[in-house]
Amino acid sequence: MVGSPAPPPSNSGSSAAAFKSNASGLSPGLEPTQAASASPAAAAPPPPSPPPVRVPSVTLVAVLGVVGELLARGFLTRLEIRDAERTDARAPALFDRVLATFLAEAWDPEGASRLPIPPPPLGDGSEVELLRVLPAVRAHGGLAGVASWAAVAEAVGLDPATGTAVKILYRKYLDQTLAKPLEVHKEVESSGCNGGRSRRSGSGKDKFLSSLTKDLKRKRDPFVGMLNAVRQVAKNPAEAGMKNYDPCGYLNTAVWLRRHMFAAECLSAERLEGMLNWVRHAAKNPAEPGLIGTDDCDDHRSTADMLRREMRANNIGSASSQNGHYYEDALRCINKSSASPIRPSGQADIPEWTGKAPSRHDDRRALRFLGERILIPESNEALDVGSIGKGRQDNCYCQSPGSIDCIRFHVAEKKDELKRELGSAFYKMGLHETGEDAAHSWTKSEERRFNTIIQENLPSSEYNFWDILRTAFRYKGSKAIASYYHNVFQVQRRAYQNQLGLEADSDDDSIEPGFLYSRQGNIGRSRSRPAASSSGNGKALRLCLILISDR
Amino acid sequence: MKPHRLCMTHHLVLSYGLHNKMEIYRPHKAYPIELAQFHSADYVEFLHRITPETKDLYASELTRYNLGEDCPVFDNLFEFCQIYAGGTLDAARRLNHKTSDIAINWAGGLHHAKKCEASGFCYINDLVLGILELLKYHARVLYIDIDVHHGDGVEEAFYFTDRVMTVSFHKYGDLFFPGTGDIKDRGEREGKYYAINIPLKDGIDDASFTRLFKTIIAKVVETYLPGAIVLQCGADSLARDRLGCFNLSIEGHAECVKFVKKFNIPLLVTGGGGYTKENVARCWAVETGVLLDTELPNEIPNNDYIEYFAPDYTLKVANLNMDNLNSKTYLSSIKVQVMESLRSIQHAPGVQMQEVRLSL
Repeated sequence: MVGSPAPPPSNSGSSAAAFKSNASGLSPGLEPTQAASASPAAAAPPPPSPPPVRVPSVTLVAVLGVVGELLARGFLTRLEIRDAERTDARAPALFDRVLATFLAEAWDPEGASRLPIPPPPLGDGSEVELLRVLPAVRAHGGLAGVASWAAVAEAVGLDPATGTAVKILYRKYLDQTLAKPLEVHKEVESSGCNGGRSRRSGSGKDKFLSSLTKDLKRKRDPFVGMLNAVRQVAKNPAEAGMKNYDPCGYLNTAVWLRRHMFAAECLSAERLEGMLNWVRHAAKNPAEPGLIGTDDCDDHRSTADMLRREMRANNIGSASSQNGHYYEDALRCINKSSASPIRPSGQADIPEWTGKAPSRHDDRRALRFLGERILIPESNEALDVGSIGKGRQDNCYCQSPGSIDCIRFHVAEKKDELKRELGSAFYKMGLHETGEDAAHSWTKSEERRFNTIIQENLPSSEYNFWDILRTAFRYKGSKAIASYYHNVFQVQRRAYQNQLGLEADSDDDSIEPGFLYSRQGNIGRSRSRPAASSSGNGKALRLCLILISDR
Repeated sequence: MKPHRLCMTHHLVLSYGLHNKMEIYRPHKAYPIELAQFHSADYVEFLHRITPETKDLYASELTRYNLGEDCPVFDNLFEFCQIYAGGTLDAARRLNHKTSDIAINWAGGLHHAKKCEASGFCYINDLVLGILELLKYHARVLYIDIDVHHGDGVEEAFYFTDRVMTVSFHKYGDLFFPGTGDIKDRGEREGKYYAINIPLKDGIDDASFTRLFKTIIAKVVETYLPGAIVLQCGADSLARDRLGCFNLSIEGHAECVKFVKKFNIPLLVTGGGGYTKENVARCWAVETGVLLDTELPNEIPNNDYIEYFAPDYTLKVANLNMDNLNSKTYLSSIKVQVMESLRSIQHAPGVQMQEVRLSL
């Protein structure tokens, strides 16, 4: 009974039954390999099927379980496991070898050498068996859930004081490599089925083992179950169109499989054509809405990326680090697609560096995106050093220097100067709509209405006048309203505060009632025509103008 | 966050006449596909579609993308992102094509945005996009961040690569946003030692900050030999900032910009944080002057927003009378740790690194 593996069930519904019938957990390590050779994706050679002479221990079963898991994912294809290693005593050594092989395959060969296996001894001289650490941590709730690393250390047979060291080891060796893919895979498989969470909590090595075993059984089923699911979808596309109709993750597996197949072989003609059409379309209409963000285009993008990478890879020299980059990139792509429900990590895709910058001619398209020229200084020699940054002169001849009107006049004066200097750039930069010039497009009655709305909805803690403003001035648009508020209203408010000598906080938007009243009276006074102003300052302003022209 | 501070900055720059010494360009609006060079496609698409009117229908997406609270949905949000990101992208391209030696985009520098979510009022990470653009023409790019907050979005984007070295000076501890940026975070895999974090405490003053900055950046440039530098000049590291807690004056802040400029390496300068509008405008106007080797007179010329600079209408931002919690020993230990990190990078990247030894 021990030596003969149970045949894979022919339909998905029997997975529960199959688990029950194999509850003893005997020889699970053999079944995944059989599934691996049955699947079209993994090219694992059929492993030898030795008859174990006695019931394998829990530890050995765990190791074989991990082996099966990795084989089903396409790793360890060249790993030969000898009969002699399938013993309890050799289980830890076998695990170390498996881990080393997996690291060499999943990362570049140099990366594997960075993590010595077995790990060096701890500070107190004790050796750590990674194989024992993995189930212990899982039993304590995984990396995130461990409450006490001292307890984990104890469970592994080490001094509790080495808890931190065990944690570091786990993170370096097992979290990045094994546990994550396993955890990820379980999440894919168990979403929607049986509520995977209850399986992962709990304590004890047997719980870990049984959950792993269950997982292995389910791993085998998906390939057959998945084919059935795909067949179902083909028969009833409308029914399966509902996004959530994928309770056992079969369709995810199907997508992963297809991607894996196409990544490894050359791209099919239709796929290439579809992708090239999309790229062409994107180049012609970059601003088109909906161009990205759909499933189709994500496919096209990843195909395009892969094609480009493959093409570049053939031109790159044999610098090992670059090959390593490419290898890791490609694998990351495959791994990512198999872990599709998980949020992608936050890293950017770095472009390849071929050793020299691209020729300017290749990048002609980018020349369109250097910014629209607004203002270029005429010549550097004619620069009047004194004209740079002339500060504010306080010796004006206004009737009441420093008053609101005086300031407004001088601001207008300076702005006219700037307008003459900048020419058309003045309008291109939108300066004709900043400051109090923003009020030009508002009639007197509109401005009064603005003021009244704010008066009637004086903000206490919230700016509840915005909605009312937006409704009242809907025809102007929110841009115009915001512009008026910041350029006219707030500036005048600040001027009012300054006149009163109030300590102003630029971020305190509460409004003094006195300001609103004084504003009602002043609305409509145009600042840009100071000579025509009807205030008592008229005479003084004219004097200023004359003085200026005398210079 | 007050985008109005950008208006104020530009007005100051123009009223000081600095436009006579530099070229001014209007950027193109970045296309969604350009934004998706870094960000995930679904996030960009969501930013494109969401409006304040429809946001209540997408509660779960808002949570997923971290929109709604620190990063509110407002009218023309996407256009805003397109403009400032387009600015940094165009700036990077101008540097690549050698049509400019220094390119400034005060509207950029939103360093918290992540690949699939907004953060800290940053929606699109224009810095990452700009750096990716620079990486097409340069083997190595150095990123320096003097915002009071940790430049987490940029660091995370390039955490595993040695082609970008990120150096961030920021306040760390007391649950200060975003909570990352410990000195021990140095990068991983190929990027190990290519992320440098300088965590600081409240109240650091001009002298301590500039000394530390110059020592570290000099060593970084000497060791790393970048082809281009991106400098994020967040102004919330100034004294009296609404959210910041440092005690730098504008002179101190601008000193750092001056120092980086001296290397004569293609330089992309962006804005960033800064929550006391008028001080932000002052700071960035002064720094525009610094980049143009022009010292601005203290009196602020008349401009549309002159009233904001009352009562004295000058460029000065007075320091606060606060304690500098960064002791000499603390700063010295930071410096030592950073230097040690830099020693691990013997040559420019591409050379095999030493085997990682398990250290406890």
